[in-house]
Formats: sequence, C-alpha cells, structure tokens
Amino acid sequence: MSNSAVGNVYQQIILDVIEASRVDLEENGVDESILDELKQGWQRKLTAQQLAIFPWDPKPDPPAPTQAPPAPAANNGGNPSNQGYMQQQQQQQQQQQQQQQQQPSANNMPYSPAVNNSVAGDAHIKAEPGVKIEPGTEQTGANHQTQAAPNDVVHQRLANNLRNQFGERAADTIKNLQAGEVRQGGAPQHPGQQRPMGQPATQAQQANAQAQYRQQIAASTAQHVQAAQNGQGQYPPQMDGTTEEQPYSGVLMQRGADGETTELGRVEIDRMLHAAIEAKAKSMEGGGLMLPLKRATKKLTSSQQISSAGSGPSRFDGGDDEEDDDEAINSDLDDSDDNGDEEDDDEDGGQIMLCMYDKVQRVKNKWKCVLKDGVLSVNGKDYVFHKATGEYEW
Amino acid sequence: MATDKQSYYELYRQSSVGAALTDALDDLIMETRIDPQLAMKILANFDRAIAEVLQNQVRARLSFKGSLDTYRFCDEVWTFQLKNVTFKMDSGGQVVSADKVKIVSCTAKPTGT
Repeated sequence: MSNSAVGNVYQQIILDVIEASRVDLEENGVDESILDELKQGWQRKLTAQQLAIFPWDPKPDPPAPTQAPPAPAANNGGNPSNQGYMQQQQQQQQQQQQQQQQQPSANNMPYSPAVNNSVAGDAHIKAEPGVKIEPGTEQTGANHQTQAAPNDVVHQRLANNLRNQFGERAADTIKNLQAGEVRQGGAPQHPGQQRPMGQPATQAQQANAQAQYRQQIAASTAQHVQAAQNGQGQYPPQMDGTTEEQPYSGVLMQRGADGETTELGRVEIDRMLHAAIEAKAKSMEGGGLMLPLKRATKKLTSSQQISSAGSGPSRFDGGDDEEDDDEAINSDLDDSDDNGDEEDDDEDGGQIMLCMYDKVQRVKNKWKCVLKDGVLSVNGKDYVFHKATGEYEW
Repeated sequence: MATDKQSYYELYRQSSVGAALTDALDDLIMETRIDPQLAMKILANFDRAIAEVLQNQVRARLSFKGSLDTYRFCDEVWTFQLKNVTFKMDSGGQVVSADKVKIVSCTAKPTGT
C-alpha cells in the first residue's frame, strides 16, 4: 500500500520545496513565477515516469492515468538527454564564436592563412598586446606594406622557385635574399621600423606559435622558421602564407636596427626552428604513432602547444598512448572500473532503494538490517516506507 | 524548521523525485531563467524536505528478502546489491519482486533525528 501513499508524499515534498525556495528566490531577485514553472515541470516529469498515481494527475481514467499528459510528458521526459546534447552544442557554438572573435582581433590583417593551425597562436598573440598597441603603428605599417609590396613580390617568387627546386638546401640562399631585400627596400624607408610591428602576430601564428619570443626577435625569427617550414614541409597553405607574408619582411630590418639583439635572436631562432621541424615531422607521421612510446609521450608534454595547434588526430593519438601507458602500470584499477560499469547498469534499470540504516547485522552469511525513511523504486513504481527490515543471504 | 545549519543527505537526489526536480531545474537553467547557485539552494531545500516528509509523514512498513550479491560499507554508507528480492508491504499484503535491487543506505545516527 505504500505505493498509494507515494503520490501524497511526493506532493508534500514538492510543496515544501517550493515554499522553502521562495525565500531563496527573493534573495536572488528572481521572480516567484519561476516556482510555478518549476513545480509544473517537476510534476510533469514525475507523471511521465508513471511511478504512481499523483494527486495532480487527471483522475478519471485510473487504468491509464496519463492519457492526456503523455504528449507533453513525452517531450519533457525525453528532455534530459536532449538537453545535454543541446548544451554541448551551445558550448561548441560559444567556443567557435570566441575563436572567431579572437582571430580577427589578433590579426591586424584581414586575411589569416594560419587560421586552421593556429589555435595556440592566438593565445600567444593575445598575451603580448604590447607588440601591436604602440600608438599609430598599425596604420602606418599597413601603408608601407602596400608600398613595399611590388618589390618584395619579385623576391618572393624567386624564393619560392628556389625552394621548390632545391628544398631545404635553398634555405640559406633565401635568407640571404630576404636580408638583401631588406637592406635595399627597407633602409631608405625610415618609418619602415614601424612596419613589422603589426606583423609578428600572423608570422608567429604561421610558425605554429613558438612560445617564447620577445618583440623584435620574434618578428625576425618567425620568418626564418617560416622559411624552414616551407622548405621542408611543402604544405600548400604555408606557401600561400609566405607569398603574402614576405612583402612585410621588414622584420629582418628591425633586427638590424636593434643591433644588439641579433645574437640573442639566434638562440631563439634555433629553438624555434627545431620545434617547428619537430612539429612538422610529428604531424607528417601521424602524431607520434610510429615513435617509440617513451619518446612520443615525452614530446607530447614538451611540445603540447604545438600538438594542440596541430591536427586533431595527432593529439588524440598522443593522449591514447599515455592512457595505455597508465593502464599498463595500474592494471588493478581496471577491475574496479568494470564493477562501476555494472553498477551503472543497475541504476539505469532504476531498481534502487535509498534509505537510512539503523542496524546492519551479519551472522556468517546471513544478513539482517533495519532500514528507515526510504524510497524504493522497483519495476517502474515507487514506494516509500518508514521502516523496513531485510533479511538476505550472501 | 530551525534546522538550516543542519546538513541533510544528498542521497535522495538520485531518487525519482530528486531526479525529476534536477531535470526541471536543468530546464530552467538551460533557459537561463535561474542561475545554478539558486538551483543548488533549491536542491538543498529538497534534501531537507524529503528527509522530513519521509520521517514524519510516512508510516508504511516494508520487509524484504533476497540473496545478497555484493555488499560494501564505505564512509558509513552501506551499499547492497540484492538478487531475486521480494518486498512485502505489510499493510496491504502486496508483494513485489525484482531480479536485482541496489540499496544505498546512509547511517541514521548523525542527523540526530
């Protein structure tokens, strides 16, 4: 008979909760009409489960007490999973929006060839706004870019040709070419110093955002990395990037202007080159799948930013490797995990009793327990009890 | 009712009433009608309400038998997995049986009720 009491008990609970929550709503400045909605939603969900006959249900048809409600009930009853899905979608959309917002703000230039592989790059660029925010630099920089463009395009084509023909070996020549270009084109233009200020952003992105760079060094080094990448990786988007990027190669000139930083820059260059090549090699061979496990996982941690900026598969593969590693060591944990899964299955069946215990006794394999204040959910019905005694054998 | 300081088990939140309330609150949160903190407060109210109602308004008694599959006692919480259980509601002689039932039970003592 405790099933017939369920409706009233639940009704009482609902009323109590609604009453008690009124104060909290006031404190939060929320309109009390929400409570009505909450109550209705709550009751609908309970009705949809057909746990018992509830006072708020239409009474007339006891055999199928929820003939009218099923339609809305089905909607609401099915909601939890849908909502979870919708929530995910919303979050994804928000993330996408955020990314989209970040990128234009990070790049001064309208086009950004590195959008696809520069998630980490955004973070870095945002982290050092000092590069871009120097007063008035951006606009003047843009002007000079267009002026310098025609001259640089020639160099760029040349460099590309060299690269295509000779690959990596041409890197030095290209560098020389760029340096010469800078000396020719950049020096006379005095404000050219300002030109690169807007540049590090995209260039650093293209270089897959090597983390540590100071302003001028980064500008010049990023270009070197770029050259190296193109020489080695031969990724079409990268080539496209350089044709657009190279016209602004004044970055090298900037290094010349601050002569004392050149030597420090080499260290940075080497490091960035190394990291970029590593990243390229890694993405080319599928994210460390073919590496020995130790090396693969080590790289994952050391160059996590690179892998996160790179393609998805490589990152996931790396993660799997790590997990496999852990499981290999902690194989004992597997058992408990399996047990957990079984319990989850039980809960999905909904056969559960929640209660307090007064006493639990065991004599050999015979158990006796005294339980109280419980809710039992069995075979799709709910029961409540004040006191329960259970006897079972193990 | 002067029991605001007293803490209640969140155990009953996984019951069908509690799950229904959680779902309803989720709906409202999704529509950004209420914020999650408020929902947590409402759930806390639920913890107290269901404990009090079960304690004060339910008089039904129940006995059950079955075979114990697994048992666990951790942090003063007993968890039993029973198989082939029969429940007897002593007031109406109603019998309900189930293949499998899980019992989660918190100690009744510290609440002082």
